[in-house]
Amino acid sequence: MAPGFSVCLPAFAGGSAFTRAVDWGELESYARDAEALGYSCAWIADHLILGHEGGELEAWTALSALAAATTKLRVGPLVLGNTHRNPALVAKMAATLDYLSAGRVNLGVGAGWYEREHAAYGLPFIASVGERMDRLDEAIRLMKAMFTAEPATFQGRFYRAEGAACQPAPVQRPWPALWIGGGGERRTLRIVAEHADAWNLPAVDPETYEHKLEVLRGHCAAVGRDYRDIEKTMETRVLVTDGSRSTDARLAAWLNYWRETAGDTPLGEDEAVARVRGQYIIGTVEECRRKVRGYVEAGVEHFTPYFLDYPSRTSLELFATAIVQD
Amino acid sequence: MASRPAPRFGLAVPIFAGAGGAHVRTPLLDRLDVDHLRRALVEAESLGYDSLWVADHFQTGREAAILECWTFMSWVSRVTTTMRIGSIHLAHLFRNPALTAKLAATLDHISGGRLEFFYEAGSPASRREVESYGFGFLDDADRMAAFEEAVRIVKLMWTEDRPSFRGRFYSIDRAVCYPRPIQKPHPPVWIGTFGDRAADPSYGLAAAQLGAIAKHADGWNSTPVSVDDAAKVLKALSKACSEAGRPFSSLALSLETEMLIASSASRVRELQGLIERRNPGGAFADWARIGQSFVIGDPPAVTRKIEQYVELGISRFMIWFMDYPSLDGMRTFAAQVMPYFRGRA
Repeated sequence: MAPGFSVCLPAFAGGSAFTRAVDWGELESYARDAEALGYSCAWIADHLILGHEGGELEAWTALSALAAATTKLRVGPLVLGNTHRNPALVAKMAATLDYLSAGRVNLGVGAGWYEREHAAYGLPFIASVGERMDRLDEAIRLMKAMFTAEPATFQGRFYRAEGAACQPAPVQRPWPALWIGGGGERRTLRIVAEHADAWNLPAVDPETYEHKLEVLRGHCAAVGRDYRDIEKTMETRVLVTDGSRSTDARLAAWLNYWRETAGDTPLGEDEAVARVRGQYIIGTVEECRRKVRGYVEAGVEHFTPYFLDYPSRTSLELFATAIVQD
Repeated sequence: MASRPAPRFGLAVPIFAGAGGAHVRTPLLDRLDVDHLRRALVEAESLGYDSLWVADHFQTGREAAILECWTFMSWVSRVTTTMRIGSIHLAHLFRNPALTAKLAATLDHISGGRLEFFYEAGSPASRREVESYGFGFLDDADRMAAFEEAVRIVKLMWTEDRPSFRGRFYSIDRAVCYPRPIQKPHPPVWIGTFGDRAADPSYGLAAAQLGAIAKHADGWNSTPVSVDDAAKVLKALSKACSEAGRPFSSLALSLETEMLIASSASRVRELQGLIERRNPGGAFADWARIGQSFVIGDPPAVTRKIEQYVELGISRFMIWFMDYPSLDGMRTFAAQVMPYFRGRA
């Protein structure tokens, strides 16, 4: 069966080698083209400081605007950092956006990790990964209570709600599709097994993906969850071209940008190209098709790519029409 | 006398239903209908309403159903094209102030510079709501102090490159906020007062509230208030401005009000009857009293009342049309009252 596919919007400056500033008009028209090409969802990462000179649009604001500018496309954060906002407020925001968009929200959540953002914005950073996971688990429980109880009262170790109404309720019942991101085998995948409608993992090779699925299967058995109920998805980077020469030119441009902004790529040109090519879905239509098939065989049911040639539509179009729906 | 800006009229957006005595602001609205609301806002924009204003609460009105403020403001930025978009008013206790600055910068960017940033300290009346969602409430003095820190952080993040600030309540450390807001130096900052309380010397927070406006705000707004009480508050505000060394004339003055307008006085009375019947329990029993702080009548009466506020220097109006979901009031006001004020300076 052909896998599902959605698109990650680079809402940060320098989202590709070919943009230097955030431009909302460009993002919106790209998302509308994605909608027309059959992409099921547009995603925006929840960061406060990212990309060229730290320029990034705030995810929820941008997603809410995008919902008004589209009709079929789902919208969601991939993923919302749990430590950025009060989870009761997140539930309220998600219910409102689900209502305004007639049920088009994918609520992607993760534990949060980027210490620099927390320090800069005065958000409490939790150094212990274990506690961050405990908080994510508790936040999801609180949000589920808000989506279903009327009103919700919840007493957790970290979060609480007391007679908290969350109306109008989300259109999707019992709650907006809940996506959980991350690959931590002990805690994250357990939380996925318990709570997620879909699981998202940043790019790994097919063997690693298969291994993570084995671990997830084990957690599902342990908590009594039907493994088949969870959609298995992967975030990756994609660059498709019609000839290897132009692929390499585009890839080199992207790598240059990466060096310039990240400031560190201690790799030689050839090695860097080889590594990026190996890690992501990069190449001609035929090369990319082969790579996608390999992932599908490993168990990936849905791809959530960033396209490295944004704002060009080349990869966006080829990925949808020539590769995934092959 | 210095020329005053021509008055501008905006809509307070009915994002909660109030019929059945559930909320005085939307007394004829039974339930939310987002498609109707979307059409109403598009029409309002074409009728010449310059702005829309969105409340920030978690549970209000019938079945406690209200849309979340920031999500709605962001959504509506792609429903309208020219109307300015403001909160009425954004509760500072609900969101980390640095994140709030980031939200606002993003919305200003997406909307093409249409954000009005109306920020609020929070009142004791909101305590239950704040705590229901697991936020901590602060006593009066701390709440005002925290609010002033929040305003300072928001402005720093909009205007400086990597600002740091260490306060008693909030801190930031080289906080990047790019892209910057489109509006320069930053989106207008509004701070408000509630009714006539700010002019009441026995109200403990009066001085702090007025002082915060004089120090930090580009605009002041009041909740519905009579002409006489508005004059008292403005007098106190003028005094606070001179104490702060701030020219009072640099402050934009705005009024939130409820309006019941119809083409004839007899139709207004019919609507009043309808509102009473649909909202038993006394809130609308005494129209003479309500009429003090609301704007009620046929077009000439409404024009006269607005004119009285305009004479006080008020140039912005945020209007709750009491007959909504009917659009008659909004249309009547646009057709028969707005032209009188258009282009006046």
